[in-house]
Amino acid sequence: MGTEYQIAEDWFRSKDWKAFQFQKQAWKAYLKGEKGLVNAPTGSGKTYSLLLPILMEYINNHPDCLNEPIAKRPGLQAIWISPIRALTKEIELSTKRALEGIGLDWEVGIRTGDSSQKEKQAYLKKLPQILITTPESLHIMLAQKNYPKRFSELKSVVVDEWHELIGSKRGVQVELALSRLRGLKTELKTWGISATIGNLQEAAEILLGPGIKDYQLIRSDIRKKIKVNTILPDKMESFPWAGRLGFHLLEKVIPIIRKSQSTLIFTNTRSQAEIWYQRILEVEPELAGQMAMHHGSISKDLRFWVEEALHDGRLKAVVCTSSLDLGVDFRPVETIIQIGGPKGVSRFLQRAGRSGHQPGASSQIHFVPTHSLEIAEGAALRYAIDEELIESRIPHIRSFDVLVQYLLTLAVGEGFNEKEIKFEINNTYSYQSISDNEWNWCLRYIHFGGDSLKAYDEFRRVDIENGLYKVNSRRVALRHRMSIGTIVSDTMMRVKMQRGGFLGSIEEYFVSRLKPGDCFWFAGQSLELINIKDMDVIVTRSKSGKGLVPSYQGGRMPLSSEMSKVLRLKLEEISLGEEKDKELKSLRPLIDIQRHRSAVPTQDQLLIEKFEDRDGHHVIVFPFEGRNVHEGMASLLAYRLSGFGPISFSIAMNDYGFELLSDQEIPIEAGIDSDIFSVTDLRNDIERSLNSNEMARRRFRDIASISGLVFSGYPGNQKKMKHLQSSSSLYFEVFREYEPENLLLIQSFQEAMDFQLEEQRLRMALERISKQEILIKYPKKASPFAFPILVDRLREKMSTESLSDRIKKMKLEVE
Amino acid sequence: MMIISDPHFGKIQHFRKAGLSVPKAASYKNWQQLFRLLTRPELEQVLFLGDLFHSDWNKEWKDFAFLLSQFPELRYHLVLGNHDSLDENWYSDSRINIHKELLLSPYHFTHEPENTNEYNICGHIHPAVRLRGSGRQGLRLPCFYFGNQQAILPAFGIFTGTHKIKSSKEDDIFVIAENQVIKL
Repeated sequence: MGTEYQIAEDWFRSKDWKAFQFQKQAWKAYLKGEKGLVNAPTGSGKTYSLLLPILMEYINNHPDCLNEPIAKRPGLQAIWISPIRALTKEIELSTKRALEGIGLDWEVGIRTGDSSQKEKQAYLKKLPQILITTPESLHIMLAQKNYPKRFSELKSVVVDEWHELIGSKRGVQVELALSRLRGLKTELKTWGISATIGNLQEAAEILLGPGIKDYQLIRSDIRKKIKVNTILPDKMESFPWAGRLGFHLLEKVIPIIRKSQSTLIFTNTRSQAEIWYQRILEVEPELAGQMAMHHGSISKDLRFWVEEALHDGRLKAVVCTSSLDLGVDFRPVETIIQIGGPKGVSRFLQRAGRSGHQPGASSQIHFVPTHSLEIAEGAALRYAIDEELIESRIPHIRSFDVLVQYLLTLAVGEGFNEKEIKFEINNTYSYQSISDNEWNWCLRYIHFGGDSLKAYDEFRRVDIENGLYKVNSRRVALRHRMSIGTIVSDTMMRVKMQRGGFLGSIEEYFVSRLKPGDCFWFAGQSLELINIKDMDVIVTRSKSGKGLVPSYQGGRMPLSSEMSKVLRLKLEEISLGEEKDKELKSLRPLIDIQRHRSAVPTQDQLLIEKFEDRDGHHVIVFPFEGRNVHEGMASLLAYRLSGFGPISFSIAMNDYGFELLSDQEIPIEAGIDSDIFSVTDLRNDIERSLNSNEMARRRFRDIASISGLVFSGYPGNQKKMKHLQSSSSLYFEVFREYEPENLLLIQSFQEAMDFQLEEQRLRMALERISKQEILIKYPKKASPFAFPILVDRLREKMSTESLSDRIKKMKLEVE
Repeated sequence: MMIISDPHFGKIQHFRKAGLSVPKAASYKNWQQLFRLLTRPELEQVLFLGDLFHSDWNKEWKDFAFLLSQFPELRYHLVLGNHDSLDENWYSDSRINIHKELLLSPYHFTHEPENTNEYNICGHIHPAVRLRGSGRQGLRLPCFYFGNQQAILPAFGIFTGTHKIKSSKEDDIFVIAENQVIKL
C-alpha cells in the first residue's frame, strides 16, 4: 500500500521529479479534507502542491475513471483563482500536463477578460472540470442566471497569489465570491497560495474566515537566495545628490543588458520607464529591435506580444514597471535591473522572483540608485532580505463600494435574499463589523437611490420581487456587467492610431494639457496628437522624435515601514562609524559633508535643519518614514505651529523627510518646547490641518467607478450616454453637500486616513519621536540630506487664512 | 430682465431614472434658489440662456412648470441650447417663448459662444477659472466671465460640471465661492 497521494508520487517519479516536503504536506492535508494556506515563492512547484490533490480526490472516489475516457464529464469540480491573467496560461499548461500524465480525462479552461465571446458562450452551456479564472470573471459568473446550478458540484476553490490580492479591493471581491460559494456549498474546501508577507496568519484568516483556528499553514522550505548588487558611481563627488532619473549610471547598465540573454529593467513609475527606454536607445541604438516597453497603460495586445517575445528570445530586454494590477506578468528571465529604490522589500522580492528558473538557484538583482542617498537603500534592502523583514499587506475592510457592486451583481443574475446575504457577508473578514444600519443603508441605496422618499422619484436600479432583490432593467444590467472588474482608477482615455490600432490608455489629466500637433511619448513611440474624439485620443507617429513624457498620477509608492526602519538603522551605523556595507562605505564623502554642515542622526535622534535663504525660511525635519507619513506630519506641524500666530507654509516632502517653507520665521523651537509632535488630539488635528477633502476626493474616484456611478465604454446611443456622464468629483461635491451620511462618501474619507495618510504609521512615528532627542541644526549651506527635498518640490500651500481672503490674495495666472 | 444660464433642470431625475443615485436634495435646493430669484421685486422677464432641461422629459418638468405658474405676471424666454430637445408644446404650455438666439441691442444672446457684431452673452461652457498661488496648489471655482466682446455666464444647475477657461488681464472675472461673488 502506498500513501494517499501515491498517484502524484508515481507521476513525479515518472518525470524524474522529486516531491518537496511542503508538496507532500499539502497533498496529505487536502485529501484529509482540511483547508489552509500554502506559503511558497514563485517557481517552487506551488501549483502542483494543490492541483494534484484535486485530481487525486476525484480519482480516489471514481477509481474506474483512471486512464479511461469519460463519457459524461461531471460538472465544475474546482475553481483556481489567479489575479494575473498571463499566469493563467501557465497554470492551464501545468494542469493539462498533469491530467495527461496521470491519465484523467478532464477538461481545463480559462475564463478571464481576455476570453473570446465564443469561449464565454460555451461556458454558459458546459463548464470544464477545472476553471482558471480571475476575481472579476468569477463575479461575472455570479451575475449570470442559473449560476447555482453551474456550481452545484464544486468541491474546492484555490486562490493563487493571495498576498497580491490582499492589499487590494480585488481581494475583497474574492472574499465576497467565496462567501457566496460557501453559501451554496457548505463543504467547500478553500485553499490559498501566498508568497511570504509579514502577516501570513492574518492572510489565512482573511481567506478562510475571521476567527478561524483549525486550518493548515504549510510553508515551503525553499529559500531563494537573492543577491543585491548595487551599482555604484566611480566618482561619488560627481554623483547627484538629488533627482529621480539616474542616468549617470546608464553606461554601467548597458553592458549588463548586453551580456544577459533576457533582462527586465524595472522602474518605479511609468514615466520613468518611458524615459529610460528612450535614453537606453539613444546610447545603444543597436538595441532598437531587441528592446521593448511594457507597463499597465499599454494595450493588452502589445503587452502580450512583449511577454511572448521576451520569453522566446525575440527580445533581449524590456523596460517596465512592476505593476501587476492589470494582470500581466513575465515568466522568469535571466537578469533583473531595478532603477531607483524599490520602496519595499516584498515588491523587490517579487521582482527578484522573476529571475532565475530553478528553485534553489540564486538570483542576482542589480540595483541602480538614482541619487546619493538612495545608495543607502541598497544596503537597507540587503539587510531586510537577509533578516526576512517583509511588509505586511494591509487588507481593505468595510469597502462599501465593492459591497454595492457585489449586491448589484447578485441582483442582476438570480436575485438575492437580503437576510441570507447579510449572514454570508458578516462572516467575511472585510465585512464582519457591518452593522444592521449600514446594511440597511446599502439596501436602501440600491433600491431607493438614497433616502426613501419615493415622491416624484423615478429611480430604478434594484427592485424587490417575491422577497428577492432583483434588477429588471436591461439597461442597468448591461451597464453593471460592463463595470464589474473596474477596480482601476483615473479617467483613462484610449490612445488610437489614426489608421486604426489601439495602443493603450493614458490619463485624461495629461491629455487635457495637449493641443493638436503636440507630441508625446507613449509605449516607446513619439506620437503626435491629431485630435480627441469622445474618449479616444487619435494620434499618428511623429517624425520629430521629441515630446512630453506623460506623468502618470498613480505609482508613487512611499518607502515602506519596514524599509524605513532598516534605513534608519543603516544611517545609525554610518553615524557611529560602524558601517560595513560597500554602499555605505561609498557614501563616506557625502556623509562627511552632512556631518560637517549639519549632523548624521542616530536612531535615538530626530534631525531638524533650520536655515534661511532667498526662497524664505526653511525648516526641514528628517523622520525617514516614507512620503505619505511625511505629508501628514508636515501638515500637522504646520497647523500646530500656526497656533503661535497666523503663518503660511509651502510644504514639500520625500521618503526621507519634509520641509516647511515660509516667508516668515518659523517658531520651531517654541513648537518643540510645547510638544508639537505629541499624539494627543492627533485625529482632530489631522482632520483640521489637511486638505482632507482633496485626499478624500481622490480616493472617491475609485469608489465612484466601482460602485457604478461613473462608467465608460458602454456601447449604444452616444448621445444618450453623454447625458449620463459625470465626473466622480461632481458626485463627491454633491454627496458632501446633500448627503453627508452617504457611506461611499464616508468611505473615501476613511480610506484617505488609512491608506493615503497611513494614519496608523503616522501615529507610531510620532510615538517614536516622542522618545527621541531632537537635534536642531542651523546649516549655512544646504546639506546633502536636505538637497533632494529642496529640489524635488511638490508644493502644497497651507494657510490659516480664510478662503475668500486667499482668493483675494491669489494672483490670476494667464494659462 | 434676469438671465439664468444652463440650469439643466431634470438632470438629477434623468440620472436617477437610469439608476444613478444622485441625491434628490440637490434638486430641491435648485428649486429653492429659483423660487427666491423669481420673487424679486420689479422682475418682469426671465431669460433662460440654454440647456433649460437636461434631456428627455421627466417629472422634474412638472415641478418646474408648477414653479413658473406661481408667477403669472412674469414673461419667460428660452434661447435653445444643445440639450433642449423637448416637444414644443411643453414650452408653450408654460408660456415660455422660444428663440434660437435673441438680439436685444447692444447684447446678442446665444447659447453657445458666437462671433457676433454686438456684445455676445452666452452660456454652454460652464466657466471656471483655476487660480494659482505661489505653490503648485490651485483652486478651481465657477465664475462669470466678461471679456471685451463676449460674456460667458456660469451654470445655474447644481450637479453640472465646470470647464476651465482661459482669460487675460483685461477680462473681468467674478468667482463664486462660499456664497460670495468676488471680483478678481
